[in-house]
Amino acid sequence: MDLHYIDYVSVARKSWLHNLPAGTKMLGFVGIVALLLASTSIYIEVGVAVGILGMAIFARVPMKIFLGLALYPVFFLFVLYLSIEGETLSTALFLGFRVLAVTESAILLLLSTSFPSIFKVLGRVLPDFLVAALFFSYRSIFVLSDSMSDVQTAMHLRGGFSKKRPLWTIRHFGTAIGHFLVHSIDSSQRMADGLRLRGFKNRVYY
Amino acid sequence: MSHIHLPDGILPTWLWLSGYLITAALITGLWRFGQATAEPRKFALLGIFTAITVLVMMIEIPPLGYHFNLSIVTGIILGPRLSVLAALMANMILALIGHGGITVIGLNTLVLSVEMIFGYYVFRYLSALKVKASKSVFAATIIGLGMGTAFGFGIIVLGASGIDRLLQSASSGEDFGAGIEGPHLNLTRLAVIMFGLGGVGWVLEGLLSSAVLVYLDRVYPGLIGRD
Repeated sequence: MDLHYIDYVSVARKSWLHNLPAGTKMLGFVGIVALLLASTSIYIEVGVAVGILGMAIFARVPMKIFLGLALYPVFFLFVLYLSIEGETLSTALFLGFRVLAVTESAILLLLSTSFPSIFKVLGRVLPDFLVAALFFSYRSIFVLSDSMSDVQTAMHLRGGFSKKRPLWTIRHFGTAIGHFLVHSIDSSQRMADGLRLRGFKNRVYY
Repeated sequence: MSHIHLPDGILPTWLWLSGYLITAALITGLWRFGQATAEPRKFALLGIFTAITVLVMMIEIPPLGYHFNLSIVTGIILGPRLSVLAALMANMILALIGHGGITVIGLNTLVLSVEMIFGYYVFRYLSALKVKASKSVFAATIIGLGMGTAFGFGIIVLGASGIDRLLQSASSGEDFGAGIEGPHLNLTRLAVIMFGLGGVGWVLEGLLSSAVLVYLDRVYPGLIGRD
C-alpha cells in the first residue's frame, strides 16, 4: 500500500469533493455510517455502496487504489463467514455490502481529504496532546517509509528471502528491521531536538 | 490476530461504544496522572513507533493473511503507558485506510494494549530471572499475542448474541424448515480459526521479535533496559 500516493491524491487532486470543507465531509461520513449501521435492509446497503462508488468516480478518485482499499476488509469477512453456521446467500450479501459501503465511505473521505485537515477537525473534539500525537505519527510514517523501502532493497541485494531456509530468513529479516529501528530511533531523537528548540507544548498549530 | 479484524457493522452498538468509553477513560487517566507524553523525546518516540507499527502491519504474509505487528517490541521499548497511546494512534490511522474498522477503534486499542502490556511485563519478569534476551522476547511475544487474541475472542463472545440477531434479521423472510435454526455464529469454529491460524503467526512473530530485540540489545544496549 503506497501511503505517499494516497496522500498525494488527497492533497493534489482537484474536484468538487476535494474542495468541500473537511468538517462537512466528516459529518457526512458519520451520517452515512450511522445510516448503514441502523439499516436492516440490503437495498439500503447496496444503494449506499453504489452511491459512494458513483461519488468516487465523479470526484476522479483513482479507481485502482479506491477499490483495492475498499475491498480489503472483505477478505477478513471470510473469517467470519467460516464461523457462521446456517449461513444463507442473503446474509452473506447483506454483511458484504454493509462492510463494503462503510469502508468505501472511509476510503473516499481519506482520498479526498488530507490527513492534517482531518486532524484539524478532530482537534475540536479531541484533547490537544492526542491530536499532536496523531500528527507526529502521520509525519513519521512518511519519514520512515522511504528508509523502509531502502532496507527492503538492501535485503534483496543481500540474499532476500529463502523458502528453503526459513529460520535464516527470519533472522535476516529481524536484523534488517532492527537496523531500521535504530535508524528510526535516531530520527526520533532529531525530531525531539527540533521540538524542544521550538518550545513544543503538546500542541500542533495548523 | 492481534486485533479484531471484524469490519464495521458486525459488532453490536453497545459493545463498540463501550470500547470507546473505556479507551477514553484509560487515555484520560494516563494523561492526567501519568503525564505520559509531556516530554518531547517521548512524544517523538511515540510517533516513530506508532509509524513503525502501522508500516509493519501493512506487510502481509500472503497465504495466511497474517501480518507482522512488532507490537511486543514496541510495548517493550515504549513501556505500558505510552503503549496504550501508540495502540490508539495505530488503530486510528489503520482504520482510515480500511484496515480494521472505524467503530472498533476503541476495542482494537484495548486488545492491542493488553497484548503490549502483557508482553512488556513478561519480558521484564524473564529478564529479571536472567533468561537470555532471545528466549525472553520469544516467550513475551507468544504470551502477549495469546492474551491479546483471548481478549479479542472474549469481546466477540460478549457480542455473539448481537451478531446472531443481526444475522437473523438479515435473513428474515427465509424459511429454514422445521427444527432448523437460522444463521448464527459458531464460537468453537471461530476459536479454532483465531487460535489455530493465530498460533502459527505468534511463532513467526516471536522469532522475528527476538531477532529484532537481540540486534537492538547489541547495538543499543540501554534501550530495552536489560542490565
